[in-house]
Amino acid sequence: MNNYSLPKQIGIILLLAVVCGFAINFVSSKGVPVVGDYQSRLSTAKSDSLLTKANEIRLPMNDPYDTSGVKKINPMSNRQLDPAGFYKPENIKIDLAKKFFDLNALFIDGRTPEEFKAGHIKGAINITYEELTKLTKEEKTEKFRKYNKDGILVCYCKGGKCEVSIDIAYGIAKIGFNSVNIYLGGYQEWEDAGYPVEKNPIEKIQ
Amino acid sequence: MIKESLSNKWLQIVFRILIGTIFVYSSLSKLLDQEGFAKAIYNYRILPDGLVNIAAIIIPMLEFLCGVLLLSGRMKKGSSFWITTMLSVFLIALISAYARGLDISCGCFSLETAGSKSDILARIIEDIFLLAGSLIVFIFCNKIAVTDVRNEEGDLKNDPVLPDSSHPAATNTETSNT
Repeated sequence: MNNYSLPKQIGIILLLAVVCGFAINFVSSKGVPVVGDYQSRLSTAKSDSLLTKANEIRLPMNDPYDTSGVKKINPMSNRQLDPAGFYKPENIKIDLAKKFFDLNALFIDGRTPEEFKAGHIKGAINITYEELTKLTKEEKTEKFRKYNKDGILVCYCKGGKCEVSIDIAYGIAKIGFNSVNIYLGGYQEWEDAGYPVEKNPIEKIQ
Repeated sequence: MIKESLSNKWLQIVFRILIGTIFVYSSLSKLLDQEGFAKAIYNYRILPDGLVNIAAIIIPMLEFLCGVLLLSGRMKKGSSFWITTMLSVFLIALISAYARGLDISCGCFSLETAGSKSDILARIIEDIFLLAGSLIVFIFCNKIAVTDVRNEEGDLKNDPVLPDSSHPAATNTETSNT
């Protein structure tokens, strides 16, 4: 085999990689379509209609920490069911994020603990992408046991080009949360808008 | 001298085993998780959306095949060519991600390691070392070093001091022989 000329070797290896690559992708449980849809991931087209819906909500709403099992109707949990069997997270704009904030939604901050400490949306909890991907489905379920699956969840990260929040939101939606939202504007937009934030109390003292 | 030591048979074997093992190892987690690797590639925002999945399907297999070929010593030239090409592309991607300050999961080794800025810098340094190694394999793998030829011919087989680039006597041996 070493006798093949360099261009031939290059061609053979590439051909093998293409054939075997597609074959293994075909049988893999985590295989992907040849052309991926990466635009709908970022679309906030549904945000406005969801806001109209959210504006009709009268308090009291579902509490994200209420795991008593007493079902209250959550108009925001009526989502599109993915063929994989979970409710797809929705991308939301800042106005709806604020509305959810006012409705006591649980905010999940996907940035690093340092960034989280330096400042985060008021009441948010910190769950990083690394932390979440290390957990098995059972461990994730255990970690989120204390939260209400019907409650409204909003995942966010830095904003701009950071999409870690999308991956976190899907990870959470897949363990049965049915009203997960992704606030793509992120912390940056939220802070710029002057909405409630919390900063590290130690830094405040300093 | 440098040329000779770089094409030294044992140095070549060490580089091949090292790079081959790293490539086979790093391809394994991606081979069965195209979805995760596609996401990692997408996060770099270098490829057009339409090519992201194709790259995620082919690159891990290319890494795996090249690693195996390099380890087995077959098609060394071709596999080291692809490894050098891949490492160059990864290097460009990493540097551009670093420069743009992207918050990405690098997908370099295991898919679980997400990249912070210092992580990316470490990956860049690793990549440069691997790139240097693969280039040496690519350029010198088919050139048998003069010392090896001599050994194979039995000229120096019984010589207690084998010419070695690090050995001070090596220079003398070389000059006296030529």
